[in-house]
Amino acid sequence: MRRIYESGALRRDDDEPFSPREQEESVTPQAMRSIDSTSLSRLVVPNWIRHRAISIDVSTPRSTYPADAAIPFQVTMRNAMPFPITITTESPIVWSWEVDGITEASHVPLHDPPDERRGFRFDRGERKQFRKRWQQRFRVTDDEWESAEPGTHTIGAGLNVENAAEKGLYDETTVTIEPDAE
Amino acid sequence: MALLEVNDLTVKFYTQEGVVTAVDDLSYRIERGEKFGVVGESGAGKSVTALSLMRLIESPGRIESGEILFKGEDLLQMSEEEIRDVRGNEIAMIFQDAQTALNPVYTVGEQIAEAVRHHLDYGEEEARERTIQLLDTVGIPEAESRFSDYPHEFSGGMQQRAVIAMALSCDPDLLLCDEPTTALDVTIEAQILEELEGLADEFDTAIQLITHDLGVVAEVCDRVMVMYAGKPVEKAPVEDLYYDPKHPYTVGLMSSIPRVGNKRERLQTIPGTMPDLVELPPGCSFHPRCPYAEDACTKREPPLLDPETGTKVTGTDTERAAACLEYTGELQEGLDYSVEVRSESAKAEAGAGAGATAPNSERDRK
Ligand SMILES: Nc1ncnc2c1ncn2[C@@H]1O[C@H](COP(=O)(O)OP(=O)(O)O)[C@@H](O)[C@H]1O
Ligand code: SF4
Ligand SMILES: [Mg+2]
Repeated sequence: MRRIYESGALRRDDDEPFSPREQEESVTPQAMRSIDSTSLSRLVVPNWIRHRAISIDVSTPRSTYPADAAIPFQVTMRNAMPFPITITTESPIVWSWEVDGITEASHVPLHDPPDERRGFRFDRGERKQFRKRWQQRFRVTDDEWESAEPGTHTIGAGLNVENAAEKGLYDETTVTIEPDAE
Repeated sequence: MALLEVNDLTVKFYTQEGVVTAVDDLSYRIERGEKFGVVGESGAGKSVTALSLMRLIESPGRIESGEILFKGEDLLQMSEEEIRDVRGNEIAMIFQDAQTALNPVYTVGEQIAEAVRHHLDYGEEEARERTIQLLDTVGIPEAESRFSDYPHEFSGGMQQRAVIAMALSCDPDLLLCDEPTTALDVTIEAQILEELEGLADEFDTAIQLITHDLGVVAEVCDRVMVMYAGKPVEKAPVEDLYYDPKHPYTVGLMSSIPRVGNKRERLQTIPGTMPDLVELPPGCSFHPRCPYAEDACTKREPPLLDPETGTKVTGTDTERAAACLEYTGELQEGLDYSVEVRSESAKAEAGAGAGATAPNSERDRK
């Protein structure tokens, strides 16, 4: 779990009482480094290379699941280049997953991110891996969920850029939910 | 007008793993001079709530919506300058770790005196005197000679007392205490809590006391809000919460209150852990850990309800509320626990009589 007091998401000020003290170690150099190489990659690497550099893969451990079982899936992104790559995303939500084309399996929008682009940074050769679970539920209203029907469903994930699929920044896989054996 | 009124506060962090909804549509109110407890396990969103009141959350964190009315004015609409003025003058905060607040390169006395000068417009000598007086008030012996000690020359308990002195130096109307005694051992904890309570009464300061320990809330608070996964799941006056908890999570927290005087030996802990707030379970967020969970709990998220009438409560006016489908009538089996008061005098000893009546917690869980 990320901890707010250890994170950079906290205003710090040594001169003001009641705001946490500034942290001595690591934080600043780390941030500096990422700023430098971010702008570097923006400057010298053309868009099409950036998009081609990053690949994304969605997979599940099995292809069929009994009804009501959580379906774990893994999203792997990789930077094939020996230099850092930053992808500019449409909002601070840098990527998202979906089931049958429905974002986070919810028919109601869950987030209303600010209208700000964000740089999604990959170190050279970096592989990012995210583990998620789909609980075989679709959210139908703010406070209601329905079970998914048995049959085949598509789990997809993509970076939050326009036409992600065309740019190779989207992938999907299918799973089958077996009908209840009653 | 309430001293503090938080309405529909939502705070999110945009991370590469996804959006963390650390505080989700939270509303509560604190009256002048009141001691209000916020309790929940680690990761529930307690610190983020308090830091949002101080406007200390920064990117990738973001206060998405809501209002924080302090004496009727929305802190979220204030300019940077205005909020600086509120911070310290009217709202002060004590962190779990005194070292978050104390600067190691200045003496304890200098730091407090600086706050006094800053907020009360005192001269050097006046500020020094006031500081010594404050150090004495918070129970630091030989305050005069300890004025020029550095933080590392203080024990953990003494550091925290110094931080309390600093917080009180400007006579705030609201004191946010984020687990102020978690890092301390039990005897010191009891002393500090008592001190804090006494001082709040003396200075007529309202307290928002954040803790993961219901026992601590019992000692100090008038009203309590129990948080789980970024949301309030129960609100009640402290007595009601102890004698008649309405939410299964509260019951779980009660059975994990340490026996008095023993921090290590927990009676029983709630199985499982708080979910990752990037990805909450569908329905009631507590269902994977709830011994009473039924199918409905995986499909419906209970709002905060009046447990007597089952009507939905909104805003900050309700005294008693719990977010469980028991009160919408949607549970088939219903809740089944009893609270056994082991000693009349010690509220903190109330525990859930889990043995006889609670169902086997393994049963409904996958
Ligand atoms: N800098 C951060 N980035 C992402 N998530 C964070 C950050 N800081 C805190 N969180 C998340 O916010 C949630 C609430 O955290 P917090 O308020 O610290 O909980 P508590 O004080 O109740 O232990 C947690 O799930 C935590 O992982
Ligand atoms: S709604 Fe269901 S899962 Fe949630 S607390 Fe009530 S019984 Fe437990
Ligand atoms: Mg905390």
